Amino acid sequence: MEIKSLVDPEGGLVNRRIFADHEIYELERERLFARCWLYLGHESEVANAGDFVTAYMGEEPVILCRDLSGRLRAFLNICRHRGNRVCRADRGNAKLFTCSYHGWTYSTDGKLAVVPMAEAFRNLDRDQWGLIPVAQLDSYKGLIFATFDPEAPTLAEYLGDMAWYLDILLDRREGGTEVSGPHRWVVDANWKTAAENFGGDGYHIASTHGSARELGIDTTTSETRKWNKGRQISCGDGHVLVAWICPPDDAGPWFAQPVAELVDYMKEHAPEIESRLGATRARKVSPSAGTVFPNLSVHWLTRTIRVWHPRGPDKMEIWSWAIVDKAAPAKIKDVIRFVSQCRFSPTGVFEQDDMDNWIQVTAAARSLIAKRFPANYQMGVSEEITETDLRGRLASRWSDSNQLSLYMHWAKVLEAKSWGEIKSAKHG
Amino acid sequence: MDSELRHKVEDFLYLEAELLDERRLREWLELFTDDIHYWMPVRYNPLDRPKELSEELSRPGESYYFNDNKETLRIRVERFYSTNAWAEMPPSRTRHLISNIRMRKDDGVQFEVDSNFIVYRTRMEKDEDIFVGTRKDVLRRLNGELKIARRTILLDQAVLGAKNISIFL
Repeated sequence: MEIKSLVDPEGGLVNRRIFADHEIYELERERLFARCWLYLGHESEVANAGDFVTAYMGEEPVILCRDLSGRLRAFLNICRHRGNRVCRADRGNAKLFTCSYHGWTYSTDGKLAVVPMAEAFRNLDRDQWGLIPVAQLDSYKGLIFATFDPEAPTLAEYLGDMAWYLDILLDRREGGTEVSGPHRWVVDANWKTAAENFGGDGYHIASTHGSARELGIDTTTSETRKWNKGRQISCGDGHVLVAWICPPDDAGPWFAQPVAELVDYMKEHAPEIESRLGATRARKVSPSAGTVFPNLSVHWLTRTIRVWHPRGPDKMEIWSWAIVDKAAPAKIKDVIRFVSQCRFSPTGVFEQDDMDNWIQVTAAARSLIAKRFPANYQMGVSEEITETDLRGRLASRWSDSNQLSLYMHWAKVLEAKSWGEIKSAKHG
Repeated sequence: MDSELRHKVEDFLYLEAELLDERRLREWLELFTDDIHYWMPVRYNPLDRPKELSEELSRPGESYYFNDNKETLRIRVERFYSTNAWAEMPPSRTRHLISNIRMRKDDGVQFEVDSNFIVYRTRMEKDEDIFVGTRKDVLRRLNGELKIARRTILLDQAVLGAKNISIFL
């Protein structure tokens, strides 16, 4: 199948098949989810030896744990014997993972420690039958990622310039961040509908989230909108975000904070934030939302991170966390968590209005007739925008530039037979 | 147990269900005291057999579906009267079935009532969700009327099977 022909960046057209086709989905599982760095969990969730959370990498069930020697590990949550899950809990602290079926027991470093009646097996070499580990595991300022592909570039290389923007969420205060969650819920929509929405869709807010403005709980104040110098930023390799470029005289880390307590908190700690991030990232650029390719999305202003786990071409499971500065006072953490979950969660007064859109976009991709007509990604005039002190390629906030750049990278990853091919065909 | 009070509580909870199902939400909001804490934690699967229910629930400082006071509840209620709160446009059709009412500690001013719920929601052509769980309420006697002073909602699902909770359970 010609994947690249499904995305036409010059014409601004995307073939709807990408949101519903089973063949494309199987290719995504193999070439994208089994190959890219995927978000697994936050270091605060596995702070102590033996701490674990169960998670997913695409559809693959995974245990993320800190082994008894303190090292982070991740392996498939599948017993090597018959395939039963070795851990049925969502989180906890364990010294061993014991399979309920026949009692094969693994230590927290994934080694097969106990096999009941081992003497009855033919030459069982326990070293060969440990849990299946991820190929690479690394973390970036608290966010733990892993990949099943030993050929994948390092995490730092993979994140590229996106890391520079993630710092604005992750590295504001000494001690970094901590998370609460996850919320987990199931939506009958393709995972990419959400990834592209968080990755650049400032356009939908006025319509989809019109009620938030009406009720006075918008994340961006009327002052922000008046300034209105929004930018799409494409960091390359499918990583995209939208940001406000703040007015130089009247900005700081408190820019566009939705409630007064948070403005005060940011003002109080502005010197520390600026000393860590530098003037450009503390005063000039204020990201609102973005997507780390492929399926981790971030909302800087309301402090949520979330993974769009694929569950087939037309279903996803959303896992969403609130993320707060570890050094913040307890009361401020509570305020941040409330601001976050009251807006973004299954009950979130923003997020609940997003779901039908994504479900119906996915349903349109099952329509035989609609599939003959491509989806429109033509917003934005091609103007060159340069902000010399920012990273990535900039476009107007009112543009589909980010979405197209996400889908071009998606197509490239799906077509490439190896990481070598992905790297040799980089686009800006 | 005071059977007259029990009848009063049943009538109160059934009236509340009626207000929710008929989308008379501004009237529904008036069933709560001004210091209401409306709390719905998230459910998790623990590693060891839990000794207490609380080990399966998110704690304060962790995640929640609802952590509302009267003002934030009012914002949610007003969504139903706003012109473009799309999750409820067209609105959900709900049926709240309230059962297994258990009356607990009574200090003369307020008392605890637990009840179970099945909330059926259908919307648009054939969207369907079933929410099942229990409520733990504190009801307060205020000027001869009952008001809800605290509500805890425990959903039985760990991974929510619905696309959102745009209604009240």
